[in-house]
Amino acid sequence: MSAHTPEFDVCVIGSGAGGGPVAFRLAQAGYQVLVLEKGPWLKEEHFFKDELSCCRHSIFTPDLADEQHVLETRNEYGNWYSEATSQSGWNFWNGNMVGGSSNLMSGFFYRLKPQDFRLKSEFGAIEGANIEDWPISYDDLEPYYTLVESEVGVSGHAVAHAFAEPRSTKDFPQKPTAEHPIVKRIESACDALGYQPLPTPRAILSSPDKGRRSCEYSGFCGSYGCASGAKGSSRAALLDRAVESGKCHIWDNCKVNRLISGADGKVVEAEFVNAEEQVQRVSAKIFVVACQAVETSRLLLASVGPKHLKGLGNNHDQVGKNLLFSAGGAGSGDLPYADLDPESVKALQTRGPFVNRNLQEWYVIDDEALGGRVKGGTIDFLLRHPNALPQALPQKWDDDGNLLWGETLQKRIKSAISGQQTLNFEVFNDWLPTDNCFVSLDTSVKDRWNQPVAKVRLGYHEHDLKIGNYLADKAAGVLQQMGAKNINWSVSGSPPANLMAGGCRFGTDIETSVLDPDCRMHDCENLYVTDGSFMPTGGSVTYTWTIYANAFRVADKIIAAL
Amino acid sequence: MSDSPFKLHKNANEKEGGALYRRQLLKLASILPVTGVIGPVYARNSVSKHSDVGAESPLQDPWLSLDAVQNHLFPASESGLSAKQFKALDYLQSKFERPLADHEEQQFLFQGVGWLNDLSISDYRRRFAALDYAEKEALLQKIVKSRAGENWLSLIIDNLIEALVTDPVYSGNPDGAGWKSVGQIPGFPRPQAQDRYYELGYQKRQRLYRQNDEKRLTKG
Repeated sequence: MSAHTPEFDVCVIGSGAGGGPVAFRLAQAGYQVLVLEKGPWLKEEHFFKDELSCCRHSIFTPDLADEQHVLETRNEYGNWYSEATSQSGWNFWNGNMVGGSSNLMSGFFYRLKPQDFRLKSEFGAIEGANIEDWPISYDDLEPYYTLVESEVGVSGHAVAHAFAEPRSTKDFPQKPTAEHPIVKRIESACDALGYQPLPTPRAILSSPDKGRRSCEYSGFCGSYGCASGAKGSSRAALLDRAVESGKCHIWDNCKVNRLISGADGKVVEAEFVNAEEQVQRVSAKIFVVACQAVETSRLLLASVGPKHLKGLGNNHDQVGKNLLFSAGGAGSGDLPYADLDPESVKALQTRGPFVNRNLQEWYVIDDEALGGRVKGGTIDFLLRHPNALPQALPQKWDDDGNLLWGETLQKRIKSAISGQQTLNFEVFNDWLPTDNCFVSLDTSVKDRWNQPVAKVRLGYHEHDLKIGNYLADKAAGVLQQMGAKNINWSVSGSPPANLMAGGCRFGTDIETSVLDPDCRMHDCENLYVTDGSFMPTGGSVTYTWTIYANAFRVADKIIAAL
Repeated sequence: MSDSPFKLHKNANEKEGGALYRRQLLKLASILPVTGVIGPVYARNSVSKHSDVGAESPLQDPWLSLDAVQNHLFPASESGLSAKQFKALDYLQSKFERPLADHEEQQFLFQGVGWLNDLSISDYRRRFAALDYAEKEALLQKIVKSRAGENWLSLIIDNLIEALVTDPVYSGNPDGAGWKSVGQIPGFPRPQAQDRYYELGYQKRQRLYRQNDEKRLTKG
């Protein structure tokens, strides 16, 4: 292989929501695209509603003995304490396959709001948090949010409300997906409380489109791959079409160890381990990194070169810094069937349709209890996950920690699985960027191919909990109004690994950011980062729609650069 | 046997911990003395999948004892199916025959059978399977007071629950009877024999890696 005649125009590393749009747009524009994906190429025909393969012996994530993380948390004495996930049992992988974890998402899709792009100027600085405004505005991203609605397929219904973000089109291209009978109860409770429940947009097709089937309502969505193709994964919605164009090539089971840069600082080749565990290299004119926040930072830090002695783009020690998760928490309440009439029970037992309701009443909070006007967040309602094992297994212990068996245990299992309908809520608010949440390379733990694994420090800002608790209390009030029993919720600084962003924030100053406003590395002109790493702040919603939209935006910039 | 791990009272503050704790326990189990049942590999002699219904060959240990324990823990009742009815033993046997099976777990289960029968013989002069209901209950209540005993029973219960609610393709939950008994509505599409977890994705890759590692080892 000669580095002087690149084999591909563009090499995209990672194939999730950050990589898919770039591969798709560049292939559409006629460029030769290579996608390197470390995980397997699983398709609709490989996705079954099998709890063992999804969630007990995951077919979607590496064995921790081969590839893992080191997580750093504060111990009871206030000191940072590191532990490898193979030892702690905490798994920090989300979904490693063609299409990435977008295959496994629930597809709750939210746009950021104009205020999210200027958190610092809108709400002011917060002591101990590294808040910065984005170098682009909502208006820059709006056309791409709209593009995602049609290209990825977002179903929903736009309604006017206090914090509704501006739209360039009147409504969604796809009507909302079918709704569960419990929605009526949520709406009645919200009406009584004077709240406005909003329809939650979903990256799920309610009618067939572009060769994909519509949702078949099996009731098992989040954590599972979609057998109908209705879920808007990067693979089903974009990569399948990119490959059909003949211009996009996907090499699955190819894990990139490092990017090799030359004397001029530009990236020349990607070095990867293939399925046969042989080390190979491939060249391209432009490289795009989209491995999800933690692994993107790991790859860049591991890619030292003549002009990048501390890792690609890390001459100012910014790579891996200001990692974000989603702050907030979750709660639940039961509607026991024993308390309800047979007709209500039958309705609540329905399995398949979605809840699709959220509250953004407190996206901005103006309450003296919180010291005046502050950024709030989103409350999302959803049914308890239908998997049986997480419900059944804990029933073996009584409240005093004694092991149970016999008819007592049988009764408890039956009651846990089918004695009630359980409504969950999730709270999303800003995870403020701090100096205690970042990615580095671990100095001792290596992966199967002797590469250093990512070490992640998991610190959070106390302000995150204050807002999270405020919102969770409101959400619990809705459950209470519904007459739910066993209401409980928790808000903590424990990060949800499936909601990560940051680590390579974009900005205009090379001293404080890794990427420029086009998501191109400040000091490496042929390298772009298009996953959630670019986000300086994350907003108070799930990230996937924003990652998709920004990747489409950056794809246009790359086409212009080529 | 005064040093049977099923006789050592657990510290009241001890609870099952993370992966590391479990590994330590399995390690402990592997060095403690055991009588009655020895050896890592046992022939499977339950009802063959291909045999005529009812043509049941008598079970031998450790399966005989495990079957007795399973059916004591999950009896036929108004609230649920018995272990036999949802094929818990078939599930367990096939689990240990799957690629990527956890043989440490298997070893611990089998050693526990030895400890259980040691205790049964010392208390009742009979093996566990030959005890009546009240004797079985008394013996299990006795061993659950030890850390090893509680962990052993807990592991058996986990596997019973797996047999009850995982897809029938894994040999338990016949025709979805387990799901029906607890009111679980399964999703679709459901896996067929060629779609089991160890045939797909990272689990399939894991099998390949193990082969590669073995080749490397044999090459020295």
